[in-house]
Amino acid sequence: MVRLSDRTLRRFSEGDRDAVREVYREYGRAVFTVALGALGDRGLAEEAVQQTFLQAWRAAGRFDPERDPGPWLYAIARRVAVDIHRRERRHQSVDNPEAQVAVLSPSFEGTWEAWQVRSALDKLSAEERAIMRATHYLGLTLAETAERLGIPIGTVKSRSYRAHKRMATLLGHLKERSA
Amino acid sequence: MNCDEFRAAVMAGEESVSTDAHLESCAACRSHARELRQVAVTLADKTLWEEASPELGDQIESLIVSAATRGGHIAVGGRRWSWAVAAVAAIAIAFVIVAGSFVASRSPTPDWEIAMPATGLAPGASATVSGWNEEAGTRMLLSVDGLKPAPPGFTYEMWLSDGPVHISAGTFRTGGEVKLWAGVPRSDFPRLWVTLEPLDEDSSPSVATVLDTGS
Repeated sequence: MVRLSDRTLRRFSEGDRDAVREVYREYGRAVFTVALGALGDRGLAEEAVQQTFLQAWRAAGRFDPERDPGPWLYAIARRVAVDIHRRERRHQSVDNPEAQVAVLSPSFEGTWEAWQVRSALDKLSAEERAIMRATHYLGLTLAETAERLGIPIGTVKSRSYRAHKRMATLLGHLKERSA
Repeated sequence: MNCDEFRAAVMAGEESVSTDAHLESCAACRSHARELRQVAVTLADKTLWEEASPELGDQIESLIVSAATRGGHIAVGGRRWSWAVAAVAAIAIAFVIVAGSFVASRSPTPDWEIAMPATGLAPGASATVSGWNEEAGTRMLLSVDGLKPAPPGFTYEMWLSDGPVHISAGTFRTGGEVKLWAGVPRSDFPRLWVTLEPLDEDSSPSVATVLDTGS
C-alpha cells in the first residue's frame, strides 16, 4: 500500500523535514484516526499526532526505506497514545484522589483495522470518498446521496461500485490474514 | 459474480441472492466474509471520518524545526549518531543542573510538548513548549527562536486559555529558553499563546498575539 516514492522514503530516513511533511500528508489522517479512536478526544489526538511525527523524525535513522512506513508509524502512534492516556489518568487521579488509581492502557481494539481502512479510503479519489462517506457514515441511500451531492444517480452508482471494488482490492490482504 | 464483486457488495452492505450464491460456492470468500462485514461496520464509525485541524501539519513542522534547532536528531545509527550522542549528553547535563530548582519532583522528560507557531507579527519566529503536569499546576519550558526582544515599555506574556478565560503563565523580554508556571492544569486550558504587552496596569491580554497554538 506504499504510495510514497522510494526517493521520499530515503530522504525521510535521512531526516529530511520536507519528506516528513510528505509522510504526514500520506499517513497523518490514519495516525489521527488511531489516536482519536484510542483517546476519544480531538485535542489529545492532535497532540498524539504531533508527538508521533516528532518521534518518527527523531527515529528516522532506524527506519528502513525499503519498507512500508505504515506499520512502523502505527506502532509509534500506538505507543504515544498509551503515554498520553497514562499521563491524563495520572492527572485525573491528582484532581480526584477518590478516583481509581490504576492506570490502564486505552483500548486499541479495532485500531489496526481502522488504520488500514482509513489508509485505503485516502487512496480513493475525493469524489469516491464523498460517496463512501455519504452511504456508510451518513447512512444515505444512493438516491439521497445523489441529491445531497448534486450529481445524477447513475454517477453515484458507478462511483460507488468503483470505490467499493477499489477498497476490496486495497483491503485484500485481510483475506490472507483470515485464511 | 466473481470474488472482487462479492467483496465490494458485502462491504457496501448489499448482500443479496447473488452474494449468497457466490458464498455458497467460494470457500475463500466464506472465510473472508466476516472481515468484510467488519470493514462495513468500521466504515460507519464516526472516528474514521473525523479530520484533524488543517494547521496540524504546520504545527508538526514547527515542532521539528524547533527540535532540530535545540537538539538535532536523536536517531540510532547513521551518520548523525556521533554528534547526537554529544547533544543528548549535553542535554542530560543541563537537566541535572536545573533539575533541583525546576523539575525536582518530576522526571526530566516532559509530560507533553507542543509547537507554538508564530503569527504574522513575528515572522521567522518559532517556539515549542515542554510541560510538566504538577499537582498544583503546570510547569513549562518555552523555547523560542527568531523572536525579537520586546521593545522598551513592552514585555511578552504567555497565556493558557480556555475560550474567554485567560491565565497568565509569566512574562519575558527576549527569546531563548524561558521557565513559566501556571496554577492550572493544561488539559483544562488547551490554548497556549504569547502576546506583546505594554507595561501598564491592564492585566488582560492585548490583541498583539505573536505565538499561538490555536484553540
